[in-house]
Amino acid sequence: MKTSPIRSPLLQSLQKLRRRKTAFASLIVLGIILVLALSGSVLYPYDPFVKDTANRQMAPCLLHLFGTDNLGRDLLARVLYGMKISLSISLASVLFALAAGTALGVTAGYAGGKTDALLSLIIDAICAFPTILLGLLLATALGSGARNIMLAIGIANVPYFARLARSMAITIREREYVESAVTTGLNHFEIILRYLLPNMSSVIIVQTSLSAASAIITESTLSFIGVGVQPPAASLGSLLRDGYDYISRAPWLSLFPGIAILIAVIALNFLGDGLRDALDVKIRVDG
Amino acid sequence: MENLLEIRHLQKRFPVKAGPLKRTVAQVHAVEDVSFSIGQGETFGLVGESGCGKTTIGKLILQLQRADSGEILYRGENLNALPKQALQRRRREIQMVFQDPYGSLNPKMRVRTILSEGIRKHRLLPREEIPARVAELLNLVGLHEGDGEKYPHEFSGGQRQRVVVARALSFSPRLIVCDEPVSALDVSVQAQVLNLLADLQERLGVSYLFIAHGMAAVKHISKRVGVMYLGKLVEAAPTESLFQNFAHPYTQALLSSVPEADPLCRKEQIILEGEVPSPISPPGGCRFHPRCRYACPRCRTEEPQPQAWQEDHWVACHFPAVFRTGESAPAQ
Repeated sequence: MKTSPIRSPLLQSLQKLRRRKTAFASLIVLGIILVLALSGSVLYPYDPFVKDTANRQMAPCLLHLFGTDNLGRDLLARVLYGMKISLSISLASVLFALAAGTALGVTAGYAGGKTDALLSLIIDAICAFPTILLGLLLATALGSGARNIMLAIGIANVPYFARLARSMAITIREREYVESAVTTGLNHFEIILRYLLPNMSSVIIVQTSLSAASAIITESTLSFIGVGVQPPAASLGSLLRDGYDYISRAPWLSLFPGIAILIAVIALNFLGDGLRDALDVKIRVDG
Repeated sequence: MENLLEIRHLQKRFPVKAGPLKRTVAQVHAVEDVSFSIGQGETFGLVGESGCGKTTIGKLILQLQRADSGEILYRGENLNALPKQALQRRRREIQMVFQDPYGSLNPKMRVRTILSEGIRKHRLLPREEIPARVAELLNLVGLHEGDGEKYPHEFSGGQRQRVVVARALSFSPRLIVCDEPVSALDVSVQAQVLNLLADLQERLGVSYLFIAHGMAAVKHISKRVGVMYLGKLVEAAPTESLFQNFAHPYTQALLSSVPEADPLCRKEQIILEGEVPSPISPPGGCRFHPRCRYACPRCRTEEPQPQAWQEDHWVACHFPAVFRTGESAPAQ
């Protein structure tokens, strides 16, 4: 008798994801965006910073696919560069939120009692601040710039992960396999690492994908109102802002960055939905 | 024979908290003044309805919960008073088989990791000998060596329970608390797992505390049986003696619910009336009196103390074997 090879749950989930067309397509789109954004001038010959005053505000043509901006810089190169910055900021902030939020939430949920009450209070307090306001506050206090909005978006996303991890920890803590881990003689750290975290990973992964999408929007918003990425650096949001001044004369200047934001956010959301199904997450995820 | 485990006057109450200040408004009397003992290589069956505190006793022995008072003497050492580090060393000698084989295995771990975790934690074997030991454990419980690579969800309920038993055995324990190990399984699989447990006891000399809600499950595996009602042990005796000369009306009711294989053998079915009283405010006097068909005024006011009914057979009832009027008086 031929026995089927035993696959790890991760591999099985990836295979399930392949069968979901929108999610898999989103994964491919994200892959292409990432390659284009990271390759920089290797795949696309224009430099996002080189000014060409003779060719200012050129409409899209074969030479400049997205046209050129007010200083004659190639817009496609700028959008790709902005995408790189936007994605880096959103990913870094979400990873920060993931690490801090999960640690907070798991500690609260696993410890319970007074620790839980105190940590939950902190989480709720963070949640009470609107993200945009938090970004403005940090920008005022520490100055604008990529690093500070990264921090602001990261902090604002902490509660989502913390609440999720806390509720998962409370559920899993009561499972019999955790009791068996106690009778095995494992300490709290080992139980959290080997029993709690692996069993909540799928929910956290889905949340990561959805949070990354909302982080792109937040970053764009903050950059649009001017507290985010500062020139000469650019993100999708600041490109949108730059083009906004010329919206009637050169609408493509804000149209293309806008479409880029749209594609990235939709792809991340579809990916999140697909992951939710593929990883068989039963808990409702608030995003 | 020296007793492996001796439980003396064990008590556990859970606070019921209410209101915004989480004040304790009442207490659940989960385990009240329970005493019994388990010998080396012996099985003690603990029987009672759900909610009577039998699972709590199991968790107290494993120190998953701490008892309020009383002693759990494991080889003469009181586990309740043991400092944490000494307890960790003892922990490997007492293991548990849980009721729900679907909930007691970490779904993200391969079976071989599950089986070797305790060995690695307690450094029971050098690293290079672990795979051989895992294979040995799998064989011991009737699984294939290749099953070690699988994840728990790839097994059926009965096979999972075998994995759970193998995990317990990986510690080379002296005592295994089996908390309704077969009640979640199909009837056809129940017998297999029970036979496996009996077989392992014979080969390895482990003791079991076998917790069940029906008499049928404990009959063949236990040497002694204790019957619990609402946190109290009401009758305890060697299996034979309990099934023949039961003296407590509650034991009588439990036994009458065991189906008889012989269709010609008609026996009286005793159906207990009413609900199990709340353990938050257990009835005064004898805890069983609201549902006892033989209850009299004394039962409502005075709590019966355990008394010897026959040799090594004791019962907590004012009128032991009252349902057998006409038979000989109790041998005091």
